[in-house]
Amino acid sequence: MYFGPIRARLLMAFAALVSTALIVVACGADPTATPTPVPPTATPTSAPAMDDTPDPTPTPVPPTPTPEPEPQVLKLGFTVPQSGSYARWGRLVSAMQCAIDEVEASGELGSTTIELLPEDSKADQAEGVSGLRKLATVNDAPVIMTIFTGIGLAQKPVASELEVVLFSSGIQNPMFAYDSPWVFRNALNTTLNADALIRWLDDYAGGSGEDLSGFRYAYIKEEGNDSIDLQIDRLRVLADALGFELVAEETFQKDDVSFDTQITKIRAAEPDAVQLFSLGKEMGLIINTMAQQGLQPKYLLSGGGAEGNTELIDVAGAAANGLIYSAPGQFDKEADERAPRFIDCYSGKEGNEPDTYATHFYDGTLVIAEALKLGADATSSESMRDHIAQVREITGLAGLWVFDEGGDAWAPPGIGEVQNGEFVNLVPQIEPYRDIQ
Amino acid sequence: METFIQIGINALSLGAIYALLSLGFAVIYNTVRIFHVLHGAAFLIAGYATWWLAQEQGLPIFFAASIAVILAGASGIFMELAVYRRLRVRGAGFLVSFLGSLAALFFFEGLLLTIARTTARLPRPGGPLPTFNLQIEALDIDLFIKWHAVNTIVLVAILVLAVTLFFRYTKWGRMIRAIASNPDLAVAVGINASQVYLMVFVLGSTLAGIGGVMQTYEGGVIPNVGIRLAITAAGGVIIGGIGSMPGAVVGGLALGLAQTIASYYFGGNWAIPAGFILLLLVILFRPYGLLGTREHRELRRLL
Repeated sequence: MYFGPIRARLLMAFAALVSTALIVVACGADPTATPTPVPPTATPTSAPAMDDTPDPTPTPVPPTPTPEPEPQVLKLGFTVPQSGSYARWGRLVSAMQCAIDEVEASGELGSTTIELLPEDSKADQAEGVSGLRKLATVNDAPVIMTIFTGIGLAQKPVASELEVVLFSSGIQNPMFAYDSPWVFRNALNTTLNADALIRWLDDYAGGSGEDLSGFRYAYIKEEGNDSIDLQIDRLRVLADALGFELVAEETFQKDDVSFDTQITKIRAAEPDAVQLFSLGKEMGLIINTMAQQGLQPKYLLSGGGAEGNTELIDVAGAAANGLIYSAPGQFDKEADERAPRFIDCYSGKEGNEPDTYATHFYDGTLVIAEALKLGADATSSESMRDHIAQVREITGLAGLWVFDEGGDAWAPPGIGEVQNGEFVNLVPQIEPYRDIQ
Repeated sequence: METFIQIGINALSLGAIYALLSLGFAVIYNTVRIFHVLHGAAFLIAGYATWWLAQEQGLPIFFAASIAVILAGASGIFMELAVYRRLRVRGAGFLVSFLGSLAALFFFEGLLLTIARTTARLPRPGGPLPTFNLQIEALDIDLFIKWHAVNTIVLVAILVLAVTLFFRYTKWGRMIRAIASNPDLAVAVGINASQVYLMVFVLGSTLAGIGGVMQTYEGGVIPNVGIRLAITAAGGVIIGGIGSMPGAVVGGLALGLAQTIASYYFGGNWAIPAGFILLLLVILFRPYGLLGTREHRELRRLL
C-alpha cells in the first residue's frame, strides 16, 4: 500500500500523539514517588502562661480510640463422605458444628468465629486429596479435618506440601500422626483395642477377672487389613507377656459369605475366648456360623468394628448378645454438663443420638478451638500448627485426651457389650498395658 | 473323624451352589458359545428380589423365593434380547461378546450399588439357621449340621437330575442339544435357533437364580460379587469339561472341595486362589476337563 506524503504525515502525527499520551499516563503515577510529607497534626500543649492570669483550662482532646481487632474467622475444612455408600459419615459435620456452636456461645473465642467447610470426599482417596487441595488453595483453610485411614494417609504428604494442618478424630492407624509436624489427631491408636480386651479379661471378666496363664485364645480376622494386622501383632506381644495361648488363627477375605471351615477349625481347638476381627457384615455371619456349629466359647470378643455396627445386629440378631467389644473412649453422658447440650444439638440435626465417632469429632473441634484460645492466628496455618502442638491435654466428652509431642493423642479405650441388640458401655476407659512393649 | 465329616459337609454344601452356577453357565455356553459373565447378574437379581419381597414387602419366604427365581429366569430373556442377540446380528465375535457381557455386568452392579448400597441384605430375620445335632458316641461324633446345608445339597441333586432328564427326554432338550451339536444343521432341519437361545438363557438364568436364593438366604447378598460368581461358574465348567453337563456339576463340586480344603489347611485367604490353582492344573494336565472327552476339545477352540 502506498502512502502519499499527506497520509504519511498524518500517520506520523497520530503515532506521535499516541506515544505522547502513553508517556503522560506512565509518568502520572509513579509508585516509587515519595509522597508529599504531611505535617504532623499539632497536638495541644498545656504550657503555663507567663502572667498571673490563670490559664484557661485547655480543651481536653479525646484519646484516639484503639481500633478493635478485626474479627478473625478460622476456616476449618473437613473432607468427609457426604454421598455414596459411606454418606452416613456426613453426620460428623453436625457433631463438629455442635462443638463450634458450643464454643462460640461460651465467648471464650472472643470475636473469632469458626467457619466449617465440608468437602465431599466420597470415601475415595483421589477425591479426598482433591478436596484437601481445594480447601487449602481455594478456600484458604489453614486446618483441615479428615476421616478414613486410606484417605488420611494419602492426604498426609499433600498437607505437608501445602503446609496446612491435617487433623483427624477418626483415623486409628498408628502411622497417621507419625513423623509429620502438620498432622494431628485425637483418635484411639488401634493397637490399644488389643490391650483393652485382654485387660478386661484379666481384671473384669467373670466379675473378678480370668487367670490368663494357660487361657486358650482364638481369633478369625479379615485378611489384608493393616489396622487388624497391627492389633494381631500387639495381641502376640501380650500373649507372650501374660502367658495365654493362641490356639487358632483363622482368616477370611472381605465379602466372603461362608466361614464354615474356619469355624470348624476354631471349634476343634476348644478356645476359651474367640475374637472377631472384622469391620463389616462378616462379623454377623461369623457369629451365626459359630452358633450353627455349636461353638460357644466362654467369651466372644471384638476389637473395634463392633460398636455401632448395625449390620452386625441385623445379620446375627440375638446371637450377637454377649459380644464384648473394645471401642474408642466412651461417651459418658452423665459426666459432662456439655453432654446433654451436645445430644440435643446433634439429635436436632441428625434425628438420633451421637455415637463415639461423633463425640470424638466434637472433641477434636475443641482441640482446635483450644489452639485459638491460646492465641493462634486463625488465618495462619503455621500459627495454628504451633498452637495445636501446645495443647497437651484436654477433657472432652469422651474423657481426657493426652497428646504427645508428635501430635498424636491417646485415650484409654473402653469396653462395651451387646445387650438385647444394643451397644452398652461396661467400662468407659481401661488402662492399656503400658509396661508391656 | 468329627472334623472330617464337618469339612465334608462344608465342601458339599459350598460345592452344590457352585455346581448349580456351573450347570447354568454350561447350558448357555454349550449352546450359544459365549462367555456369559452376565450370569452373575441372574444370581444377584434373585438374591435382591428375595430380600425385597420377603423383608420389605413381607411376603412369606417361599413365595418371595419363587418369584425371585422366576424373575431371574426372565432376566435371561432380557440378556439375550438386549445384549447378545444385538451383538450376534452385528456379527460380533467371541471377544466382543465377552466384553459386551462384562460391560453389562458392571453396569448392572453399579446400578445395584447405587440403589441398594453395600449393606448386606438378608431376606430373613437375623440370626443363625436351624441345625440338628448328630451324635454318634461310638465314633466320638458330636456335630451340629445346618438344615439349610442339607436342603441345598438335596435340592441341587434334584435339579441336576431334572436338567438331565429335560435334555434327554423332552423336545426342547433335544432341540437344544441339536443346536449345541451342529447349529447349521439344526436350523436346516427347521429348528428355530432364536427360540432355542431364549430357552437356554431362561434355563441357565433360572439355575443361577436358584443358587442366588439359596446363598442369599444363608449369608445375605451384596452387589459386587457378580464377576466372582461368573468366573467361579466358568471355572467349574472348564474343570469339569466344556460340553459336558455332568462335568459342569463335577467341576463345581471340585471347586467347592478345593476351596474348603485350602481354607482348612492354609487359611481362608487361600480359598479363592485354590480354585484357580485347580483350574490351572486341569488345563495343564487334562485340558478337556475331568469328564470331558477329546471330542469336546473341539469346543475349547473358542477359548
